[in-house]
Amino acid sequence: MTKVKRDPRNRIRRSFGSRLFDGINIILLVLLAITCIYPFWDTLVVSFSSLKSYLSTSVHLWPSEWSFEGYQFMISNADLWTSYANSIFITVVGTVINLIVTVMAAYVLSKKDLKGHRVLTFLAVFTMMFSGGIIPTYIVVKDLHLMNTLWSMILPTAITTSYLIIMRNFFFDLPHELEESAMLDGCTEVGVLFRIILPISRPSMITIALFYAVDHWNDFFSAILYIMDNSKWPLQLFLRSMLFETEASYSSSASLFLLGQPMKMAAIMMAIIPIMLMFPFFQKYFAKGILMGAVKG
Amino acid sequence: MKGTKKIIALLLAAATAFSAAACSGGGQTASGGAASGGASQEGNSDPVPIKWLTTGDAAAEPIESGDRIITEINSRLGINLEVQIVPEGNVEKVNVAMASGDYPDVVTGAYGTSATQGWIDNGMVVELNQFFDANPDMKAWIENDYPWSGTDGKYYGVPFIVQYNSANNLIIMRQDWLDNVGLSYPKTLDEMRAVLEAFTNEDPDGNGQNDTVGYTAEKPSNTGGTGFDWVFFAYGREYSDYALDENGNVIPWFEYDGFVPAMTYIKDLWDSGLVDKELMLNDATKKEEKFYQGRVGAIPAVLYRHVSRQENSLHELFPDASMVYDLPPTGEDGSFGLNKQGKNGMFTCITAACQNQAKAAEFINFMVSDEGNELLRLGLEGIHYTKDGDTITYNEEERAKDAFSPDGWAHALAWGSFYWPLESGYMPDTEPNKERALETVEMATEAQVPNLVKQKTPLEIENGSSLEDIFIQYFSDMLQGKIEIEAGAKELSEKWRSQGGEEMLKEVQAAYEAQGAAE
Repeated sequence: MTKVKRDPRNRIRRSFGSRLFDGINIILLVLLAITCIYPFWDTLVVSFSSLKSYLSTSVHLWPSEWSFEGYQFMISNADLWTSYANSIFITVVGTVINLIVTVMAAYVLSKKDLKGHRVLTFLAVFTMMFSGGIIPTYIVVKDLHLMNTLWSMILPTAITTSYLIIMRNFFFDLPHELEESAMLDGCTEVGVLFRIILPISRPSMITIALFYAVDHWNDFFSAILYIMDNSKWPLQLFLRSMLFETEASYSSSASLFLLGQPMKMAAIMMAIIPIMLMFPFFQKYFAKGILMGAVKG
Repeated sequence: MKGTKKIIALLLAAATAFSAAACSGGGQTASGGAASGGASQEGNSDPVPIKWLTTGDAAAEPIESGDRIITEINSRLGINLEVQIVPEGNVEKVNVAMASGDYPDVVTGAYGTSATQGWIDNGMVVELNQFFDANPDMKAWIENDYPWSGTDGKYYGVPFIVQYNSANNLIIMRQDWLDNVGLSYPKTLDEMRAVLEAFTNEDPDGNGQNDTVGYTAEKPSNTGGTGFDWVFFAYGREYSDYALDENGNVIPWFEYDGFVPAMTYIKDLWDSGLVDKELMLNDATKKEEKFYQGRVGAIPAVLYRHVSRQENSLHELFPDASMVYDLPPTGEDGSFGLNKQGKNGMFTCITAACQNQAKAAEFINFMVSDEGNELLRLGLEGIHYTKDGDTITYNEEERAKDAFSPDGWAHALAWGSFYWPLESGYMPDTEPNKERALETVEMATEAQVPNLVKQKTPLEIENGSSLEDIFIQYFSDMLQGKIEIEAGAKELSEKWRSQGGEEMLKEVQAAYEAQGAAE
């Protein structure tokens, strides 16, 4: 294999100003990255530290004394796994429903030849600006007999209007010829959606799915409002309540009373790790998906 | 065919778009549906269903079905009790349920809020006076402790004001540091300054570094106070909420004579570097951590059942350290104080929708009675505990089967709606530091300063918090030297009064006069 030697004279000479600009940029971006990463790192380190180790320094780079008590305490509670199952159900089923309903609505609203599509789009957008608020939603949930069911955390948020608009704009930008050629080949309109449109919409759909999934995973206020039964609590509510219960624990002799911050951090890690693990798998679609459909309206 | 498809598409789009609209907020309003009840189901032996929605005690054990305490209550009262405890004590859920027409029979919300005031104003809850004769414990609770809580002699709920006659905060200090600098726990403001100066400048931990500071507290806030309330009380602040001028008129508390000298004292501590400069960023956890880390020698801290936690946390890094607490320092005339009397708490009402209001009243009566307390704190004799003279032995195994907290603590229904352990002076014999914990309550209560006006007025409920924000802003600015103290105090008064304070004072004045007349 021949090694090509580069002639330094052929390189484009960069001015001092340009190199200085790059240098400053790199420094700023590294600092920005540190400010984003350090809180996670700090949380992770503290979650594995003993209280003594945590208290001994204000900057936590590595546990000086390892402790797994926080995780042990969380894992030993059987209700944790029930709440994990609840959260996974809400997230998976909720996201699937979100996607189906959002895609179908967005596709129809993207049809320029559909009579009244502007009015329908306006009605959807209207809810972004003027939301009825908590009480009407509560009444809807109650009257649909969804109280104290996991569906109360899924169905009322079956469509998030902003994501609907992103999807609609994405479909809007697709070349109309694609659909026409499919129709000429004998494809039905539903067939066009499922055989032609959806396969080329994967980046957008995955991005929207990720948004929906994160929303479902982090949602705990709906659970406070609608779910009274402890066995139906999602993970976020369970962990918060567990921390609250431990902090306010009556028995001063309970050792957990003293775990303090490390246990809180362990709870945070347990709550965020599953959803964080999803990001690397979807990252390649993410930047692409978020830009698509966002440029034209 | 194509036309049919279009129609289907149109319908589908309409359905989904409208479902989006409905889910993010429709236009439906809460239906009233409040049937007026009141008649007891005499002669009917079926248990009366009573649904109780409460914020309860978020720290309690969950109540499982078949809980023997609930069964016992049902049996004694002839009811079928369904308790709904809102997760995390979130009052918003209670308010939303009530506003949506999802009425329980008995509801416990936050006292002194516009939501509970709305329940009364809109007829969503019933007057309790009609049930007083049949329910003497409920009557005594209201008339003895909260006679001011009614309107024209009519009572719509059973209030429970938190820290009304008890408190649990004291200033804790490092005793070993005091020993090292040759001082004792300060009795006066001058001694306090000397101690804080020694903690800051005389290397109290003996590590040869200038790395300690005298005092820190939580950042000033409209809920937690200034962190220096003990100074204002030592300078003669007589009441927690307001003050009286020479003519007996109600004025904002910061218009009392001692405000400027007290601020000058605090500013001197600040400027001399005796106070932690990060105080403005501290929350309760950060404040305590600085004490445990040996960076600060004195903090106002919650004690009572936390006294062991404070000490044990301190021992994590400094096993030989010791902690001391006492009454806060006094001013020149012997005034002192640290804790404000509570004005907030819970409010338990019977809803107008309740089908058997007499039974609901009976239930509330039971919850505030000695009989109810004994059941909820001890359990069933022979099952949850045994008694030999005055000695009580807890059966933890049996108690764990029902919703009792471990180590002799009470049932899940014992606290949150009508009592907290602090207000009840309660602590089971099993607690290792019971005597010391109760001693701290005694001292903290001695350092508690009463309110001038017990009840919150409607404008106080509406605007009190934003007016307190104005004070906190000026306090912070004066402390940090952004505005000179005397000018700041004057400007604060003007701004506070002009932004709704003047109007609120008129209402408070009327409430104060009514309270005086009632007493």
